[in-house]
Amino acid sequence: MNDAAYARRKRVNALMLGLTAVCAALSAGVLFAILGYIAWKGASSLSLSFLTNLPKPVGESGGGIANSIVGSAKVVGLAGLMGIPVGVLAGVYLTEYGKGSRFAFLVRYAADVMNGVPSIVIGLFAYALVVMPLKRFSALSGSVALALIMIPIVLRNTEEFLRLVPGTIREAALALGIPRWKVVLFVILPTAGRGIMTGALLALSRVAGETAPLVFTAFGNRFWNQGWLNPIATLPLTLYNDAISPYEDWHRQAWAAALILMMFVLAINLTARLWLRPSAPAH
Amino acid sequence: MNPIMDTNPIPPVPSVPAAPAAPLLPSAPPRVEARASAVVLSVRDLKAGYAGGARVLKGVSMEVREKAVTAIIGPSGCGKSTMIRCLNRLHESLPGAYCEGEISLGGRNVLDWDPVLLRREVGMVFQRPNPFPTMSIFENVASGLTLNGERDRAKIAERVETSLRRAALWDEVKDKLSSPGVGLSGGQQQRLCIARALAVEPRILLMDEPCSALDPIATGRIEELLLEIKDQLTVVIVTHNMQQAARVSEYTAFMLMGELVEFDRTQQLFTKPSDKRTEDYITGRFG
Amino acid sequence: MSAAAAPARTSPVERGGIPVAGPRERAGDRLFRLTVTGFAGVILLAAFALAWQLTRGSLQTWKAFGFSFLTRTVWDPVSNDFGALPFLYGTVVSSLIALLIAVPLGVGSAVFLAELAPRRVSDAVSFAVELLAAVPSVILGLMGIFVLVPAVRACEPFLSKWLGFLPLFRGAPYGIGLLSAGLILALMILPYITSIAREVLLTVPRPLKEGMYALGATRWEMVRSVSLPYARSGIVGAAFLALGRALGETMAVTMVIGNTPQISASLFNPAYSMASVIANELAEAAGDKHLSALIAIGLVLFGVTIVVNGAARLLIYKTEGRK
Repeated sequence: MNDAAYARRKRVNALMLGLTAVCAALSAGVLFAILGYIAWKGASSLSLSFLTNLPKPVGESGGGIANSIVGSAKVVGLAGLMGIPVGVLAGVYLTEYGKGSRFAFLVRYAADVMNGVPSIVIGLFAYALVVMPLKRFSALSGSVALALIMIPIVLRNTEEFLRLVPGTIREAALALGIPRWKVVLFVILPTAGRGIMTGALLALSRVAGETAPLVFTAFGNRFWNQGWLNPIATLPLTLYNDAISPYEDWHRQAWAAALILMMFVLAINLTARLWLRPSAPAH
Repeated sequence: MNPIMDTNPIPPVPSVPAAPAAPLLPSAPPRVEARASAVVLSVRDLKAGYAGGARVLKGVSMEVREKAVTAIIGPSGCGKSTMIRCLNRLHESLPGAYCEGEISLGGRNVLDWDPVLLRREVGMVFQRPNPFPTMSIFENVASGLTLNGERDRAKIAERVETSLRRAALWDEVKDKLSSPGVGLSGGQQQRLCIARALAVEPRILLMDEPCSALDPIATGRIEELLLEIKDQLTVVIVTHNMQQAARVSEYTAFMLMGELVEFDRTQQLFTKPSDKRTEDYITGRFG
Repeated sequence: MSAAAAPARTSPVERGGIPVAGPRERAGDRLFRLTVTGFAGVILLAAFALAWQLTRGSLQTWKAFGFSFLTRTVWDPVSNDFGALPFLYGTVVSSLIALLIAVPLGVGSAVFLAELAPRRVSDAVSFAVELLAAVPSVILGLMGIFVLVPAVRACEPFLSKWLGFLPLFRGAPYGIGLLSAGLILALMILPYITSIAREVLLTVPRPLKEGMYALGATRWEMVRSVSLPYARSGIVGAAFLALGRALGETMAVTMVIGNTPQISASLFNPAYSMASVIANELAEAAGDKHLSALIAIGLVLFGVTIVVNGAARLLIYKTEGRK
């Protein structure tokens, strides 16, 4: 055994593995650095009036993001109402009825394609579909864009959790003389319920942070949002507009908005992770 | 005498049990007395299998007697599970599976029935206990009723209690009916599944190796309750455990490679089997 | 007389039944099945409609310029003269920079997480890295404008001093530009590479690894000669997937790339990406031809990401299918 050569190999080993540890530390560290920085910059501008005020004109201080928060809730809420049922029911179709059929293959392929399409292109589609015929920017068009982004995510998630339901549960329900559709709706879906709901929540949180497709659909609004067929402010949109503006005051508001948005996203992600873990496939 | 078709390959059932000969099985002799009773389910030339694959059942004919326990025994792969899954048409729910022949229940061929309605007459308990995970004990037992539209709360509650009593589970769970069904032990879960199947008040209860996932004590309790419920309904039980068949059943069918080799009163089959293959199986020469 | 049973269909209730309550069940099942099939069909419809709308909307541009649209460099909404090359350039270069940084970093982290770290540490760190993917693009852009760009601006003079012999690192230190865009994209795609590479590395069969150890190899040597080659197509697939994401990324890039449609060799110079120009100009598009040109860019982006993502999926499934 050549001791010198072996010692060198051991050194190389330690070096390379040390490097990989550095990579991992860097990657995780960046996240914490970002979170910390946002917290630091944003906290000072955060106040109750910030959350409840409307934006003020340039030069006046004390503006707020109340309309953005409400607007986000509206647009994301409507998107969820449209996107989650489509994703879940299509997932039911793929697992329960579509095994092996050509149509199911095409549906799954279409969903994969939609999943990979950049959100800006989805926004283009919503623009052509809703904004152009209506000749105005609207909350509705923004919701349509977000719903289209949500659907493939919810679909894949639903499929995954429906597959985890053991076949013997379905057989037991059928053996009781329960019609197929009731078995799916009242036994199988509830059994997969927790996983499906978590997936829906995560999809909602993902689109809550989306900006690109909304730039020319929801468009943004510095006043209270009226109804569904008018331009509407959302938190990420306001963040963006404030950030690229030349005004110091608006920059500070952007940081505070970033903090709010980040807390929301973090809360949902952590809840989803914790909620889901106990029911991970352990049987 | 029971009317039996002339073309019936099943040997005629004597009305008086013959004096038991020395049993070929050294273990406990059959403790069940066979009583001649009416035929409730009659199977003629049942063929089943999967599209593109070999046939699993090659023309099985047998008769199930009312208010008795009929056991189906045989080595792995002989088709006994497929057989009873054809009886409640669960076999067909697998993609590509088919089932042909005649299964007469109440004078009509079951293969023409609406499967959903059939399964309310013919219930099933499975090999592994499978209570519905999101439901409580009460909800599990009641599921056959509630999911089929029964709204009368009193009736449901009464049915649940009756079924749990028949399944010998009532005393153990009566104080925790709203706790999750999956929180019970394996043996209790299986009795829960039996109660769930009984709640629908089927005419026939099919059991597919119900004790194979349970310990001997749990198995014993289920066998005991079988001896009690058979006064009210007919049981067909698939088992790989010959002693179990000998203990609980009045009639036994022996299947081998998709065929019914012999069907007779349990006492007769285990003491004086007419087919050599049966004799080989029950004496342990193969399988 | 025995009745032959029909071969099983997907719904066993589709056969005839006893008159008692039979049709009611059948109707319920059929209605449900048609409903869920319909909802599934909506997705198929949406995908087709998307492709159709993009094609229809961009037809004008293709008619006016043909394929040369992709090679022309002028972008003038006033005189309706459009060419997509600057945006293609900006998108591709910034994405390549991102890959160059994120792939080594990501694979390195994945090796650590899959091979070295104890299970709990690995899970915790993986979770942290995946959370990075959950950070909205616009927030990363915010960090980009106020943290990254000033930092890059401060570093650029040093880069041009030491590496200025390469045309990549010459020019005025704007801060905003291709380099910053590449860096921020690297941050965004890092989680994807790390998590997929980690998953793929975890599928390397233990017997293969143990065989290498039995020969007296150090852990790094095992990783280098067994794990990484085995996981190679999966890792390349992860890189493709990350590329697909980088190509379409909009907000963070828009905020730091400088939004100037120009092609230059230097990474310090501002540029423009396909996604950014759509985001910036669509809302106030000056006329039909302008709109059509923007949609044409969208169509190109759509096509490119489909191809890249398709390649990614093939490569990833190839590895995971070998389990």
